Amino acid sequence: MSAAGRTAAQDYLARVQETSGGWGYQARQRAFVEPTALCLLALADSTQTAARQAGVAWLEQMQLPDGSWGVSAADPEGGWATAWAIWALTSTAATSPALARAVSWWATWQDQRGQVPPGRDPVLWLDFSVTGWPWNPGGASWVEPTALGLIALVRAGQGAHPRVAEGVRYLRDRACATGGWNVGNPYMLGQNLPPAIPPTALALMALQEAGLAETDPLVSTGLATLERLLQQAHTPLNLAWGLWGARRYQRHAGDLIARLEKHQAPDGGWRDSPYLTAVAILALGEAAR
Amino acid sequence: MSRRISRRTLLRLGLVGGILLGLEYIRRQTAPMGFDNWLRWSLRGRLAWLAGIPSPVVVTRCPTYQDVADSLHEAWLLLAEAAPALRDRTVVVKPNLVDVLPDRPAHTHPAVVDAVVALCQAHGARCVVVAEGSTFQRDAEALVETSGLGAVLRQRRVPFVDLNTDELVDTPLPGRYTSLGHLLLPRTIIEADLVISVPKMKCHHWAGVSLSMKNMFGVVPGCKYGWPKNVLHRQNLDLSILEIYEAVRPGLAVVDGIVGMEGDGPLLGQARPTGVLVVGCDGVAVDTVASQVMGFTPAQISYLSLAEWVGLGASEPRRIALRGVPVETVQQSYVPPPRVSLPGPPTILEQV
Repeated sequence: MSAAGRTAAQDYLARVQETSGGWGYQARQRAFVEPTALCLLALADSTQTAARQAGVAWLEQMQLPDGSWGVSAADPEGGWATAWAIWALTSTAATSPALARAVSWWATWQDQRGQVPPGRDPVLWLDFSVTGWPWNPGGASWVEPTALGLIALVRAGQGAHPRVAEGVRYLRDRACATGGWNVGNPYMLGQNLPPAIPPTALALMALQEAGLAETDPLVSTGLATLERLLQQAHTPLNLAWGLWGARRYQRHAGDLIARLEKHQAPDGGWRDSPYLTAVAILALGEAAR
Repeated sequence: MSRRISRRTLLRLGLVGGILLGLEYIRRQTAPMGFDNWLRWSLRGRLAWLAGIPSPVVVTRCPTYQDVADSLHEAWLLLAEAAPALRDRTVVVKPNLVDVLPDRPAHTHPAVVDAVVALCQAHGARCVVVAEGSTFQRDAEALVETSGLGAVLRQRRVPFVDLNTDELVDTPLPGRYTSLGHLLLPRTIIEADLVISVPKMKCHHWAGVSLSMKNMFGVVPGCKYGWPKNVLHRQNLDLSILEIYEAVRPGLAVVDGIVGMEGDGPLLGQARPTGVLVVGCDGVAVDTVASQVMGFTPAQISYLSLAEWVGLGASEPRRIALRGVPVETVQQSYVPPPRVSLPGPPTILEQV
């Protein structure tokens, strides 16, 4: 990505920032934690200091008393968005007082499985004794919040936490038969369900953060799947997520960069979406590192 | 001084005791849902049954996707006085875009969405929006384009709203069938004057069928409840279907039964050419008739029986006014889904 294109994209994010300090999935939408965290990651190396500070302040203001985050100001229940907030706050230079409470909450929060019979579930072929992270309280574990959970703990300096190893086990169990991941249902009644780009990219990033080698079959088949899926991708969200994951492993995947850049609008953003624009910036640059 | 209890007093005491025992029995039996809920549902269901106003449901032949506009126009005329008002209303058309898989008819065909949008525009709707929150995929644009819906939206100049990332409105769930109490639902749905459910006619391995009521699961936003919408499945699927349906209350249902899905739906079943549209304003009645077209009886689809019992709509044949072609003339024998029940809390409704 050219420096001018990158600056234009970061300027776009600053322009569409809500007066509250956060960002929505779409411009002119009320702020959510996920796009706000992504925008903070995408602005980490920018000159938009005021936008970053306002974003961090909004995140800290949104933290619930128990240390968690709901998905937006409308959501009083802590859940998966907490992992995004931790990731974003660890990327800021200053140490946030919100972080310690958040990490403590996240490390102990888990799914609600009730009594799990030993062995593999006969219907879904999954091992429900392996714990990841759910989307919400009372839910089962799924791929995306588990991958985010791993990244959050590692970024917060908790890489040796037992839940990191457990999370890796979870991702190993939920991988699709052909490699890669979908939401977390690789099988259904004896048939394989296909992988998808965003969860595959995020899971690969999480496994890298957790220290898995690229030679591990889980990673190598996941990467091969991601590259295969990216060849058929044509929409900016799939391209951006896939490219972000691939570039973490120094895979450039041919003309993907040009295909993603082609979607950048004259105002600097992608689809007038701060969420998508932030993922595109991260995919095309190295801001998250 | 000895007092004798008269026979009449004894009978009265027995009667009072019997009533108290009966009430206690009902209280215990209805404990999982609460006596007040049970009473509310029972009364509403019996009142709807006694009122005896049949729900019109239209079945029209539609051999191919080139015939949808004519077939829907015919259904609209047959619906007549029962058709919802469209003029000056904000209408949300909700197709089923659960996923787009090669060679699997898992999603509503874009030609059906096109016909519904055209109908709304022709009848003076102020604003028409197509909206969906996919259960499995984050990239809504990819689904819209791969399914062919994108071309329809551009031609009709209609926006698409990804309900997974829409603004959230805290919405009480009036049905109180589950323990959820409330959900954060998309503003686009909550502020619509009319929601039109446009599902694919499909078997479903957990619910039996996936039609206009189950299609409302797509309004539950992924940005809060995740991908998939697991919060609903864990609550007891049948009750969650009722819960979401009553909260959203789509005012019209148009079922894409031109090519349905039999067997292991909602994703991995096989195509079943059926050649019909099923249209109506009572989603329970529409789903009942669509199930019959697929070859199932309402009794086989437990959420339909429950919906009838709680008074959400008509599932009994005598409470449905069929218009258009007789069901027998278009009826199929869909390969049933592998029925695997999801674990969920036992409820009085299940006992009923």
